[in-house]
Amino acid sequence: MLRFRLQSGASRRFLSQTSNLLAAKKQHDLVILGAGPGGYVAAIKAAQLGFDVACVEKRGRAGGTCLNVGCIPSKALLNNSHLYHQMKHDSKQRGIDINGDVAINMAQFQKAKDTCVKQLTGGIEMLFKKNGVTYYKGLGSFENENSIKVTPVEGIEGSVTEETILETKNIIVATGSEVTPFPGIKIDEERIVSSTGALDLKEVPKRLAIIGGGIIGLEMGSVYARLGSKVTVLEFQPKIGATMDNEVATTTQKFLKKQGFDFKLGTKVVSAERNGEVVNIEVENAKSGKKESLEADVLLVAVGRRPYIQGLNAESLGLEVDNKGRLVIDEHFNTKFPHIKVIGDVTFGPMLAHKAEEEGIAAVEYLKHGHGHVNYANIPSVMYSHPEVAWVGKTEEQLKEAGITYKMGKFPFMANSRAKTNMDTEGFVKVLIDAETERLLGAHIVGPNAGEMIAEAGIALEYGASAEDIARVCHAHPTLSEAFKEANLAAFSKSINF
Amino acid sequence: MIFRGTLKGHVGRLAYVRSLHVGNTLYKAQVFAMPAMSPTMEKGGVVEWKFKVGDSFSAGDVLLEVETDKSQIDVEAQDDGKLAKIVVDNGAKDVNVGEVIAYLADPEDDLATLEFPKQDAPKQAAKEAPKQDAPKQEKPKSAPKEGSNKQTTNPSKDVKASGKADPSQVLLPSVQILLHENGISNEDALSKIAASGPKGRILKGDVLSFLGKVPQDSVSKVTDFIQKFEKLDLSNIELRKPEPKQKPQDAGLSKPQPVVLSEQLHLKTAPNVTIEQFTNSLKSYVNEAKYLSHEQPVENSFSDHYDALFEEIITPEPLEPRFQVSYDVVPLSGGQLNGQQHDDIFDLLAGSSNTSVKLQSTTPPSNEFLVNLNVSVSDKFDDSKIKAQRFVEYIKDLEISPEN
Repeated sequence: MLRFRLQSGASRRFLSQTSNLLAAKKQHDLVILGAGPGGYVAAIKAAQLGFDVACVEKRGRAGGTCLNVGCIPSKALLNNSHLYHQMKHDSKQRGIDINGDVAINMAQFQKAKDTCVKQLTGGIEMLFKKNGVTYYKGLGSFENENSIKVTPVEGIEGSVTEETILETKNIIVATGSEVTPFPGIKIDEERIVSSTGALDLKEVPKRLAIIGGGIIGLEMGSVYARLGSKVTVLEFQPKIGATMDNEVATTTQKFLKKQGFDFKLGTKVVSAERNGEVVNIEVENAKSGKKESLEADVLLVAVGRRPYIQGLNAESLGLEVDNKGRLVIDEHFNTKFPHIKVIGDVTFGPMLAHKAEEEGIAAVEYLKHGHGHVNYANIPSVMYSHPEVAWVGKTEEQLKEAGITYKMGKFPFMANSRAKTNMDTEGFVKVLIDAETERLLGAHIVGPNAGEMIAEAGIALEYGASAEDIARVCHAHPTLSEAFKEANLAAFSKSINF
Repeated sequence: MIFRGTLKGHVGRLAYVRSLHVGNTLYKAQVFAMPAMSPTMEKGGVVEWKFKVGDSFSAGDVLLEVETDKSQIDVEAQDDGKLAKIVVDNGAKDVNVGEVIAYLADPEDDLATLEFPKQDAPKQAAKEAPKQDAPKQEKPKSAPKEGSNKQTTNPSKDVKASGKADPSQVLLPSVQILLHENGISNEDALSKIAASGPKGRILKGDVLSFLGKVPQDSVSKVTDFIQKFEKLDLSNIELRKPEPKQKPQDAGLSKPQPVVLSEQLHLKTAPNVTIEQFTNSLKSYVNEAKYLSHEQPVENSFSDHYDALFEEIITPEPLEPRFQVSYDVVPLSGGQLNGQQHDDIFDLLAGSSNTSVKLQSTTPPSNEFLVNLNVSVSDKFDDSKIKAQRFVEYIKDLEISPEN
């Protein structure tokens, strides 16, 4: 019996050895590591340009952080919580009486979000099929500079069944980023959560504390504030909104405060610990050093994201990493090997899905044609609170610092007819133009649908338009976009409706 | 005849694309200029012509290999043709982009009667280049004189502040109005006003500056400012400091520590097993495992390439032990029983013994043992670690077996 057992154990081991020796080998022109917004877009573009392309993803589901635990699910929660909030608090004045209870069904609320995510991630796999991208679900790592090893990952549907070696001429690394942990705070994704856990709370916390007053923190704060949480934002900097224009940040803070947010700015978090069902947080004023204790039911740690290269085995090729963990590239996205390119969050530049997408396209075009195009001066940012906050180009502070004399045009939504009819008039459009040449330098919008409207500013920036050029374009009436036109009018001349 | 580079390294594509006007180029050799293989390429070298003069080639053939400061790139022919004359030979370096390097003809052309065009257009491009602020950016643009809509639309070409206006542009509304107000015709504007916008677009500021309404430098100032941010800021990269390497230092200071593999097993036996029974059967299991892990070859014996004899020859001192095993057994709950003599550890663990066990006193019905296993690996043999690990795996099988 003993012998029998031993041999069965032994043969088990040998089986795995055998598969190692016979590891499947595949050939491709281009292998892309990561199927996030950077990777999947690059894969599809490459396939369209005629490359035999493979995309490797260890999460299994395509779409990366953005689709699975980022932009997309948070927008589902934001939209539905906004609807709920409007029904509950805003319907009466609009002449809608709701007879009965307006209540949140948390399970369905989360399910609605999961359905969107599932459809969208599935959609990417469909696009892969349509464009002929080979999709490997498994952990991709560098075997050497021309081959990638894909290792099966347990628990994901459709994982490769055995170690597979992908031999390839070109490689694009698009492994993205992960949540930056807060030193000394242990995230359990239950009471102390990252953005990932915050998207999946099973009940509405009575008190939600958020470390970090950046876009992620404020969006998640918005969701739960609408559902009834008492939200406290703890931010080390004296202002919220990270890279926002200062005036916009102040306005944002004001309207969020009206929505019930409590802000503790210039506040340093000393420690946070879960005690049963509550989280105890110790903070101190960054200037005065005055200490304070807080209690919350859920603590969200949203202090940013950091590049993710774990398990990539990049060090074996000697790929350079900077002190923030970013893979070092040149202006053509090349590492020290010209056939290994890096795009998206894992390298330099803002950590935004749309930036990664642009880079994905450009990197593939560099491979195919020898040139590609990303204009880093024209990457919009959007915060999907209500009202939304969106900006592109330069802030006033940046212009002042660079010694550029500028003119400003501002237009409040209060004076916009569509905003007025929608009874949704909070915010303004602010455009910054060069004082002499009147060329558009930056646009900042706080207001309904700001995220959609910022695209117009992007086009104008890309083509070097002056404020007059925008103001002379016919905008439909009545639309919110007229506010953008009027702000431009105000910048170089005078607005009509204000 | 259109030629296009394909990538071998990482860049490709001829920025210098010419189209053939059949009418006036029949029986006339085509100028073939040094292609720009990347937007930043200024000069290149001819590594090797793949065809001799007089040779015909087909679309897709590699005509020559061009060398840039970054890599070597094949230049492919997209149409059939014939190599009429080589101007720049193999091995030439620092050839300006746009400079004539060869003449090409149609496959059926007779080289003897072929007329070689004057080198005006490309030469001019090469001459013009150094005069401009950013010759590398502008060059591909100035090469073809006619058919400017044929130009490749590479935005990074337009990096420098003001340049020549794109004559085919639709004027911006602000520009159109200013021109009209000041009595300047569109044609005049397109030929006289320097354009600071992307792809040779005339902006409002350009006209204002042309009219003297704003200071001359205001355009270049704002253009420079905007363009500074168009590229990813890759300056001042601070590389992560390499992890302090302690291993070599340690090696210098002291002898390498012997490798010890430690494993703690928590074993639950069938009821009523004495510690002696358990120890004895564990001992025989350990010996068995020791024997087997030494005995079995390191290589995969199921492989087609496996040769037992070869394996035996290359295994050094097969009889030497690769590791030393020590372990102690800690009973976690007491069972003081005497039972049968010959126990199999698996029977004890699984409780599958069909031999009856005699109960002598009232004891807890279940016995648990903690086995602390230490395997010190010999550093004399290459295969020590593998065999020691294999041994540990065998022992660990004990833990999982009862569930099987």
